[in-house]
Amino acid sequence: MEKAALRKLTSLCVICGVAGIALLGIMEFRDGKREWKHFQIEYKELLLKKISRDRNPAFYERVLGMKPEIKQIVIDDWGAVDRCVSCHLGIDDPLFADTKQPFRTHPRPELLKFHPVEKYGCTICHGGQDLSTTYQGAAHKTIAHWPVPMVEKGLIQSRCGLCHKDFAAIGADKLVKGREIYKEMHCAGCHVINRQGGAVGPELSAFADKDPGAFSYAALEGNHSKQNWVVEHFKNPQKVTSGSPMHLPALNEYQIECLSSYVLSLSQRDFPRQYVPKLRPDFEPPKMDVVVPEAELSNPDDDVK
Amino acid sequence: MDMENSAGTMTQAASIDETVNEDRRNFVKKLSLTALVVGVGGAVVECGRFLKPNVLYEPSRVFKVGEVNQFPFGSRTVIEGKGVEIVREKDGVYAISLVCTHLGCLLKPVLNDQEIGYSCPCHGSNFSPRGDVLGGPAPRALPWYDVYMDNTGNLVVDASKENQKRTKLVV
Repeated sequence: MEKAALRKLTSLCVICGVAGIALLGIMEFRDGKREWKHFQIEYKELLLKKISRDRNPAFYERVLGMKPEIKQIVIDDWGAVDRCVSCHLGIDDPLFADTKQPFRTHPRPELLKFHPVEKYGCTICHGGQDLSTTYQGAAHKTIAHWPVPMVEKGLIQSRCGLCHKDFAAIGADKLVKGREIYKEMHCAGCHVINRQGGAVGPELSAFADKDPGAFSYAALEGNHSKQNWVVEHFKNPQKVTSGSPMHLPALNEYQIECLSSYVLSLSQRDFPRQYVPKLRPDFEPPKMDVVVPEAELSNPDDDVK
Repeated sequence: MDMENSAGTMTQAASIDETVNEDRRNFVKKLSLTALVVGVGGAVVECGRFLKPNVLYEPSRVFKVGEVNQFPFGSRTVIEGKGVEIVREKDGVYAISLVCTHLGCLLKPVLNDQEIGYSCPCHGSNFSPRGDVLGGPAPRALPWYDVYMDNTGNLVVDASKENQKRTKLVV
């Protein structure tokens, strides 16, 4: 071969080789820097401090041998692959009750008792992006292109209502109250829930199952999520949906939260038998299109909490 | 004489120059080759890592089965949906696989026979209560899985690890 060509080839080899090594280095660096890996290493240290080798040597050895790995709960019944537990490692461990996030135990352990994490996962109640392994990507806050961000604290009861149709039995005060408001304001005059009501407005029977992409967020203040849409819509329907004939009296924050929770709980999803809660034998689905006499309408300022 | 001498030094200098150049050339050649091999080889290895996924869309092979006191002494409890039986005896607890080593059918625990512990409904393999093959087409004994107790007092089965020594967990 000619000398010049050989020289060119050699320099090409050097450049390719060095570029390859640099890319490898970047990859190693970025792969080692993942959030959940750090959290798992930290969790291991915390856990080792909390347990003793003498009391449970087998468990201690296991914790010692723990390596960062993606942890997940797979629930085939509704296709969830919840990787939240890759960071929320102490979620059902009472030892972590006052540790900092993301390790802290669930604040309502009595709820976890009835809904074990292994059986239900996290997103069925809390929303969020199940597959993600980063704080941002898991939709702790609203993110682009993910329809179901994590449910805000004030609206969390809406998720109970997906399965539990007897609101009083589970003590879901906001759902009960929301339904009362719905009746008091006679929303059924225009909206249908479970075949009861008028046909002026859109049907609400499966409002929770509605595609969030079908809503218009153009005039919305704040987060572009269905939850926020509902809240803002109850504050001022005409602002969110221009030209909407819907009108409702001014509601206080708490009433809006209740009504939004109720509306966001209206689902017709079918859950497998083992997930459906038992109902009281005398439970009757409440009638929605009843007119409450005006004298009984409560003053919006009565039940400020 | 002088001329000859100077000519001699010149050729010497030239040859030294030549060897230095040759050394450099060899060094650069080796360096470029090493860089290429490390770079390309590393890229190939990293691509190969894609063949083994970090995690699969399947239920975890490590699962809780319940608190220890849910399993009284002398009990044999089938864990539904997991293909595992938890056996608690006086000297400890162990988890035994209920998947036939022949073709993977789910074994049926036999309750009315002293010797046979499990029987396969598909091709009739029989296993002793400890999982050893007594008859039928099954080629291997039933594996025992690792069991441990976590800090909340729950028994946890790790079905990804076989307990080859067949040790029982003392609780």
